[in-house]
Amino acid sequence: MNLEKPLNSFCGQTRRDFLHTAAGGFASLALTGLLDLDGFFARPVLGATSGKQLINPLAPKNPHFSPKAKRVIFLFMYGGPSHVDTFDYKPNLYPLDEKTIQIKTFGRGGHKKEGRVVGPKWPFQPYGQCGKQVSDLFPHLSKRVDDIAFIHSMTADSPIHGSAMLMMNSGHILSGRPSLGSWINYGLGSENQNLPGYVVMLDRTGGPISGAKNWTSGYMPASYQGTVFRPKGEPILDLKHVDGMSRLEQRTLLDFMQEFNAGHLASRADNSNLAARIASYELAYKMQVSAPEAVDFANESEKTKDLYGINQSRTEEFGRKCLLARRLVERGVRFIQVYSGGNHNDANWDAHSDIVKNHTFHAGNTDKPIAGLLTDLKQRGLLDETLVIWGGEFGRQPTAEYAKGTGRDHNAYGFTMWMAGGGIKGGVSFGETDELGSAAVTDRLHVRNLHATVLSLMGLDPNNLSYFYGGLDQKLVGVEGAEPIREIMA
Amino acid sequence: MLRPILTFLRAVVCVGCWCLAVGAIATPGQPIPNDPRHEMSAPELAGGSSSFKERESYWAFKPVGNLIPPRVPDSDWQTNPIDAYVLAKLVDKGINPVSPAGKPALIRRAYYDLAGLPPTPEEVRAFETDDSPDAYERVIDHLLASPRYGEKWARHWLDLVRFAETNGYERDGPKPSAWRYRDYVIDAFNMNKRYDQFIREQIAGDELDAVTAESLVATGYQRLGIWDDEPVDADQAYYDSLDDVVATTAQTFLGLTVNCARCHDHKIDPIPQTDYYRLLAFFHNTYNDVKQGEFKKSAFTLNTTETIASPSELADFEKRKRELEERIRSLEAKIAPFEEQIVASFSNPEKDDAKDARTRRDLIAKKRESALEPKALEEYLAFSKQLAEIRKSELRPLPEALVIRENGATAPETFVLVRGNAHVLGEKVVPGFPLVFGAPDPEVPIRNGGAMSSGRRRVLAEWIASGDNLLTSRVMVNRIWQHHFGRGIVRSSNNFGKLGERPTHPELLDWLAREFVDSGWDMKAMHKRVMLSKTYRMSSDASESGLRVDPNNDLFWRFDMRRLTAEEIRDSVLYLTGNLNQKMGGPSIYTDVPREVLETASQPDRAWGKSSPEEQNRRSIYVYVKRSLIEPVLGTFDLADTDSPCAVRFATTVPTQALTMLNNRFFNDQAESFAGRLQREAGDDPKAQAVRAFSLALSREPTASEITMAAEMIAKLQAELNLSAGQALDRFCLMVINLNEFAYLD
Repeated sequence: MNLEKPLNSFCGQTRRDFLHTAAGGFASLALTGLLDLDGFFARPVLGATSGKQLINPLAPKNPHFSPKAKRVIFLFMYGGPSHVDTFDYKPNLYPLDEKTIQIKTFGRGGHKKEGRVVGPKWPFQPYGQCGKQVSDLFPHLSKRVDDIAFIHSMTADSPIHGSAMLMMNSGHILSGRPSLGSWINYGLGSENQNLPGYVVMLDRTGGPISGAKNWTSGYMPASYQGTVFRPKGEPILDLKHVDGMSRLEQRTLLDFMQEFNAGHLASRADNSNLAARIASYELAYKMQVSAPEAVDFANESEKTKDLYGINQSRTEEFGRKCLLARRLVERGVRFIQVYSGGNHNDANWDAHSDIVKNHTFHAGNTDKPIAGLLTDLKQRGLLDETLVIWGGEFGRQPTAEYAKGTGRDHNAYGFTMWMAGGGIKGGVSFGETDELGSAAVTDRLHVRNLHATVLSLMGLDPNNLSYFYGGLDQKLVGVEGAEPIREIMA
Repeated sequence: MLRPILTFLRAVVCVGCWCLAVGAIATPGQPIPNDPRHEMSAPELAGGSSSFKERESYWAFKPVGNLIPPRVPDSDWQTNPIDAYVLAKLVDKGINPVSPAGKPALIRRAYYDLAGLPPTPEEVRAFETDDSPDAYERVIDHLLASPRYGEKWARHWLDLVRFAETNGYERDGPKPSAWRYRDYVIDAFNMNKRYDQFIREQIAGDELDAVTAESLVATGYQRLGIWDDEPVDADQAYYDSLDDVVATTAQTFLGLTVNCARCHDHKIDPIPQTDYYRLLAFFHNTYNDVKQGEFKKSAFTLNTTETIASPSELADFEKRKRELEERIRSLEAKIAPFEEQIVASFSNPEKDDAKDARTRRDLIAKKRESALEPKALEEYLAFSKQLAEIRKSELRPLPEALVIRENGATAPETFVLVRGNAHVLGEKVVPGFPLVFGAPDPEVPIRNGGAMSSGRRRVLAEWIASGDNLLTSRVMVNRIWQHHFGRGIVRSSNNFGKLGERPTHPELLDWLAREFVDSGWDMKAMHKRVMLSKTYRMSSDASESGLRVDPNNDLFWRFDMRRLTAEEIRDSVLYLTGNLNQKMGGPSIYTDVPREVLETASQPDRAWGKSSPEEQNRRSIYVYVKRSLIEPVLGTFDLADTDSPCAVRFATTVPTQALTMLNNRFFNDQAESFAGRLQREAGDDPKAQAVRAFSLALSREPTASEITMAAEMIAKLQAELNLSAGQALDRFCLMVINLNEFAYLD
């Protein structure tokens, strides 16, 4: 813990001494939980404890078994990217363009039995040693296919954004459940107490539908909810004083406050909540340095920035978020979710009217940054322990939504996601949709299988990670449980 | 082909079911201990006939007996039976209760517990100097009579019934007039509505003998849940809506997690799956206005309000409407001759054109000056103006609210849904109470064909509100206890079943429950009884023997400190700066929310409203509750989750709370107001300012060394950081509202 030199001292003690003695005995548990990661205490202070003593909810915890990945970056392609136009090659779909065929679909427009085919709008070509077919939408990402495991047989319970977003993030179409990042922080705690354990980065056009419900901790304590991080300016809400209080001034205020607090604590030394609150102000004080430091790219080389596309206006926004994701990974943030797209309709991947215009825009904004992220993680030796996930809340139909145009409606019957990095086999594809891409037919998978895979790679048993609420041991993978996708796990 | 698969997937997605795995994160890496639940045989799990055996053996299902408080060796602790029950256990463990709290700590505790606000320094001083034996009792009476009491305790209730003013999901659309339910709850507490009546009105306010606007608004609690207006499976969503009501009702009024039995028999408690659907049957007609299969289309009607006007309000409204129409007619009659005269001046083509009403109007406007004499013109214009104004004026609309209405006298048939799947019907059931209660099957009176509802909820309400119900009174007195002592006698106050926690003082709980029923379900009397106990009046001091024998304070050897709730923090800050606007009721208000927070919404510019500064200074219970965008200051301090019943709030301690209290606009603005007040009331002397600041914020005067330290701080900020005296005082005030002593109650 880099304590700056105290401006004043307490009866000849340093603040560290003060915290140590004032909060000693019973109360030290929470403090040690909060501070010992930084070597705040040379030796852990052992104190009597009781069931009621506060334990820092984000203190690191042991996984159930040895993890393959330590951190997750979830690149959320909000709105639902079309799998047949991106990674799920359907050569037989091209010649059917404009033909009306019998096909069962279910999307925003309801259940349909026939539809007008919209042929894939981009050619596919094989890439890498694995020869993976990727569409021309991804000139950069296509070069990383040997690091990626593609999952083509995803299914979800809902083809409607509101409930589908909740499902992809919390495993359930009903609101009120904790999100994936909350489960991981609940299960493992955070490696870095100076930064949130669960960070969310949103699109400049706004959040996704349902906003904060997508990174809620639901019935768990708010300590596990996602914190919104901005890649420019002040990264966290209230990180900086509204009217600009200098650091020295804040330190003075805190020093006096902690001295008053010490007096208050003296006769209440057994209450660890009070000591924890004292510690939380010191952590906040440090966070005001560590969070801006995390978003400060001054020490990143131009080459690195180029890699992420930060120097091009088109890719700057998403590139910054990807680079920040890498920097947060380096700083021990457990779960990072980055949204591509926000708001409604064409501000995200929700291509209802013109697939070419929509996907050209969103793929073009994200292709280079994502490829750069994978490259950079790999060259720094971080990819092995960082799990990268790409995908939306569902895919899109092979047929048109309207009588005219190339827009596609939502499709939860079958869609593609991919994973790379920690514990993932590179250059593989798993599962299949039918020859038109309308539904998963081979090795069908559910969102729960995806969640089970993430938890497993992080060293958590998806069928045993539970939280007691509402009379039940609740689980991310629900009552029936789910197996991880072992075929893509290294 | 896919449809059956999706259906199958949905079949196994049963909401909130307990299932085989019992992994415990508390022991990661450890083998899972054998869980007794795995060893139970199917018949044991299935409830049914074994329910009655359970009733004999499990405390919560045993009737409340006639209870005689134990004899204890201290006559002072014998007087109030609460103390006798508590002391008997302490004596048994060889722990002495700690000494009584000092007067300032006690009055501060009482104020926060009943009003959610601190006492003023004057109120503290009056109490300190009042040596009469009933001084404390008069403080309690004063607080119970204050409207602040309803505002404080209504919030506890709103947590239970997952109160929110929007639906959640893609549009997160508003629930119109949901605030009326919030006001109903505040009023109910303030008027000390009998708890049994409070139950009846919320469950069956539309089916009572005397239906009132108030009782109709009360039924709105059944409409407060999350609601997907674009459900992926309409039938399943229909049952999700019913499940929300069944789960909330059972947890809130009965402390039972009946929802666990939606998909199969409850694994632990003696609640077979049929019990869940028998309970659901009571509510089955409430969503009957939505035909299955048409849910998506009709669901929007679920959000419509109905008038709750009384017959006299209705009559008055009709009268005013007739008067208005009469005035319009009379003015139109006066205007007509003038217009005829103007039209008469039209050319023939113009007369043709004037067949179109709008053209006629335009032509009249164009020609009126030439067609009328000046005096006539003046009269005509005056009448026209009057008419336009009357047409613009609207009748004050009749009050509307979200209420429950049934679709006629006949409820649909109810079936057990196999594994909770709306598409797989099992056996048919009729309304009934959970078997474990051993209550006779209810008789739902046959309603005549013209009745507006099935009468089923009335039957359920009467059973829950009965003094004989095994759980109702226990659950409610436990909640009252919880919000005075920081935890219930049963800590899991929404779960009195076997997966909940056991009561630390079961006999005391039963005694309180009996008292509650005997008093006529009198909530204020129960507050007073609890608060007058020596148990409540203990200090929060530690004692060596207490910490050694009972560090968890299971036995109440002292009073547990607690952190202020989100509302208490925000309201107290406004109160001590003198800014709190104590206006009650009405539509909710919007605080100024930073742009960064609005940008988390999918439509940042439409996500939140705006209220005047005065309105923003109202109590937190009046802040708009939007499911997808929680007010950030309140959200930081562990507001209840809005989507399901919240019986016990978290009290987390995280650095982002410190950032909010140090850096956020609200706290800094209030610190400045606080400083302004200190200058007005204590002048320019930092020592006098410190005395006033502590008295206002902490309900006590600072010690001599604290006064010195305060003056030092203010001096140092000026000398070393070049702050003006005013700025230094602002910072001092900011520090005071950040103190542990401000955030934690003794």
